[in-house]
Amino acid sequence: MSLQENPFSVQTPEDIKAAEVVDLFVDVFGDFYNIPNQGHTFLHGPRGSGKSMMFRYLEPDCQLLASHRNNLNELPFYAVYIPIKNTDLKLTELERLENKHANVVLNEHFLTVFIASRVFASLRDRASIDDPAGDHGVALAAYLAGPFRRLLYKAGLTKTQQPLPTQPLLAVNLQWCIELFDELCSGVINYLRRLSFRRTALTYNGPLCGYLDFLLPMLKELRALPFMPKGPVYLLLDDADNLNETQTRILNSWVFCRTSSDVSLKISTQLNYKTFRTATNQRIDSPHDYTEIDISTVYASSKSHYSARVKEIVRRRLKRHGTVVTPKEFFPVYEKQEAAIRGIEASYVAKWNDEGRGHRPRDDANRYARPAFITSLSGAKKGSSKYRYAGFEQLVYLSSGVIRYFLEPASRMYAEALSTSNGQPITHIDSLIQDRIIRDEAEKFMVAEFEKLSEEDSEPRHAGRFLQLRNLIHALGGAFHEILISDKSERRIFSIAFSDAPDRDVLDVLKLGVQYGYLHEASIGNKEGTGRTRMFVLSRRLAPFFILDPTGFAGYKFVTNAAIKEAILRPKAFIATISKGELLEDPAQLRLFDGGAVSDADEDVEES
Amino acid sequence: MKLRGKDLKGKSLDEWFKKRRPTDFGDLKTNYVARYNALEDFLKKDVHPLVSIGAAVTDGIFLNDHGPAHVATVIKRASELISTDTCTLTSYETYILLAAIQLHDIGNILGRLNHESRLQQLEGRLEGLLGDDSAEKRLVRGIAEVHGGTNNGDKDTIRQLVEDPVLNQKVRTKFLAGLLRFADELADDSQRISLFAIQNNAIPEASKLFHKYSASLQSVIIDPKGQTIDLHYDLTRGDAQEEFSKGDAKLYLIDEILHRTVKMHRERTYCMRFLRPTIQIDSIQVKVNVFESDTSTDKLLSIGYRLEDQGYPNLPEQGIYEICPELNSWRNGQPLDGTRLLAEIGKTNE
Repeated sequence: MSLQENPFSVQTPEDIKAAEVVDLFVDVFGDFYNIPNQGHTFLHGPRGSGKSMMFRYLEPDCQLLASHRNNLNELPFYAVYIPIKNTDLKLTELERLENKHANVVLNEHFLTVFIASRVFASLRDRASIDDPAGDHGVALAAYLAGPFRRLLYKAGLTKTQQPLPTQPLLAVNLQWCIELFDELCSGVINYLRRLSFRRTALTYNGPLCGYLDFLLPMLKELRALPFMPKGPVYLLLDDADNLNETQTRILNSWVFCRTSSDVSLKISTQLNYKTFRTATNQRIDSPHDYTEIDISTVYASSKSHYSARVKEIVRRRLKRHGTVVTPKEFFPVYEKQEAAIRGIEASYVAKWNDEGRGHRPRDDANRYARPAFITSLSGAKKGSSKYRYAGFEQLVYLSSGVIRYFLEPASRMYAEALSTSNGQPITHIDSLIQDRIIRDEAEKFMVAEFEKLSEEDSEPRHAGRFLQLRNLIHALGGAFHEILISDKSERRIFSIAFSDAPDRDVLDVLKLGVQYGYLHEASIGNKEGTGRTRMFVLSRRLAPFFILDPTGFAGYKFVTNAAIKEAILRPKAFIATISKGELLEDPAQLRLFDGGAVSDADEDVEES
Repeated sequence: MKLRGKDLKGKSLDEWFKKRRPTDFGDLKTNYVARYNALEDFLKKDVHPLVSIGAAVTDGIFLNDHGPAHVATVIKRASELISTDTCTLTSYETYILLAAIQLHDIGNILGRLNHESRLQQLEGRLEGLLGDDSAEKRLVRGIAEVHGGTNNGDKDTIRQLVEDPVLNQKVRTKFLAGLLRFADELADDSQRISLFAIQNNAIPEASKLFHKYSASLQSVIIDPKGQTIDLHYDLTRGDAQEEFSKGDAKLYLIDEILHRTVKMHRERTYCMRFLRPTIQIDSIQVKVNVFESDTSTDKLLSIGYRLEDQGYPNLPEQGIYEICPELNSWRNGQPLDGTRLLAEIGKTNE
């Protein structure tokens, strides 16, 4: 890789070649073991959390390379990557069917042929089927003339059926299949267009393909071909939030069928999946219909795990770029600041015998030194921005469990460093650059991105909620800052837990925050110790905006629904009340819930 | 236009339907009455006569009647079931139901085994006679197919049907499917047999029991107001004494009656899920009379019983594992219990 190329650039995984994917991909399936295993799985995570990369890695070309196998049929499964994009699914046109004609049936047909087209495109582009003797071509031709043709016939393709290909050439026949399904998609679109000019019913006389009567048997028969893996077919539906509600219900109906030994559905969402009900209004549920993984929750509950993953990702990217330094060396801390903090730590250790609050001398040092340093800077008001958000560990914390939020700022930092390097190789990013970019990112997230999201989100149920969410985030960020610079026993707070039940309005706002990554949701033992209650964690990406300490363990506060309503409606009043020490209650016993410093053990494996 | 069940007054659904005018179907331009007549005519002349022959050729069995007479009985039973104060059907729903009834058994032409799913394999004019809208045809077939069998291994076939408007018409798909299925279950009476074949000993041994059963079921009376079905069986001493073949087993006619009435009870329980609250049938009353002979008026015995939901539900033999089979192989392993849970928790510490 050229030194001019940015080692941290973020590309769409589907555009990355297999060799590069295998080179860059850090095996996270230890954290998400259900994904490569048989069974239907939902994978929830915010944009940029690595879902598409995981799916890309499961595709056959990557799996062959990663497992050093040459033959497709040696793989344990065949995974087809199916990105769900608004534009491909003709959502606007399909809306015309609602409450009119065969809404479910036509949506299912459209979804089915859309996926079928991707299956054959995957065999063409990702399967690397070597067929020097032509045997595989003959097998595919027999499949097309036999079971495949029968299924098409059953689906009603008699009238418009194209003649079957006559030659047993693998590539030619795969292309024929893709074109066939693309043409079926076009048939639906043409019908929908004609429908737009009609008020009365318009008959649809094309074929109808469903999951149980077409796609499932088609894939079952396909699996039986000699070049195919004997394991199940995985359909990797990426960003399924983009399906319309009818399509979502149809997909849920497929999940409900429990056909995972033949076809396992791996469905990723950006936390805005429309419904878990089927086309016949039944609920699908975890774990009996599917397993469910929330990336944010997995990484929020194990920061050290996440840190190790990021370290490995950065190490691989730097190595591929030809930069032989450790992630910590590449993203150095601001040494002067760290020295000052170490000085404060030493003073906490020294006075622990007389004034100590924690169980051990280091407890107070870890808990209070950095907040005390930030507080010392904020004494002179303007000075508070002098705290530098720099150093690999701090950047990991600031990415809040989403790898893209590490890579995108890192990419900007690299570009800025390169622009002033006079052509010299970049061996590290100055802490000043790190700080500037990361503050800018936080501000963009809180201001520009917020405005963009509220303009782009046209869902009626979100109307007016963005303003309320902005108020809430301001209130929480401001309150957490007040606590950080206070003399409370726990100053590093990023979360709230409910001491009563949040009402629908409050929940809607909080859910919107979760959906767009400003908050993430977890649960914690309730105040009475009689069960669990909802907890919402502020994204650490916002730490520089509100001048918070993103590192290490963080605590939480209990709040009431009424207090959060106040925060939503009058954020300044809320912060003022917090300053007086009201509204937020400490847990009975402080729990360390959502953080973990990079442990010494991690240090040992940093570079090999 | 809507049919109110109570207005049928002993007439059948198809009689009512055939009097509809094109304007009774709202903004639909198709002449559904003409289409139905053509469909009925084609099936009666060209398909139904082949149904029993098809089964005989493919499976070597002699089916009881699956032809026009059986279709007429199913329509009659459906008509009786909807004859309530609360039941209504639109003209379009009536077309869908009647067309599905016409089609429901013709899969037998391709063999008795899984005959319901063979429907779509029939070729020729049938495709054209069902019109040119794929979704409407799929709807008719869907309702016809779920009168038995399984879908993806699941016997609960009606639940899997989607309620989807067709050609801007709202259709209660599951209701119609439940109606067809239960009407078909009640249409197995003595009109379904070939008396000539029985009298001339032309029924193969393997099919004799089914014909005897149909012959013994003298009447099926649906009482929607009393929310009950009355079944009346007549047997002769000779019938009761004869052993019949059923698969590899030998059994008496009364065994078959007991077995079939339990099946009917299960079908009632199942179909009522989709028919309530419009149609409510709570019990099946059975009367079996045993006579000395067909020509004798001497009643040797009379048996009566009622099948209904009663008492407190029994605990399944396998407990929770029977109701929730997924727990029987929890996490792809042994059944879930305290020991299993502890073992799995132990693994999380590894």
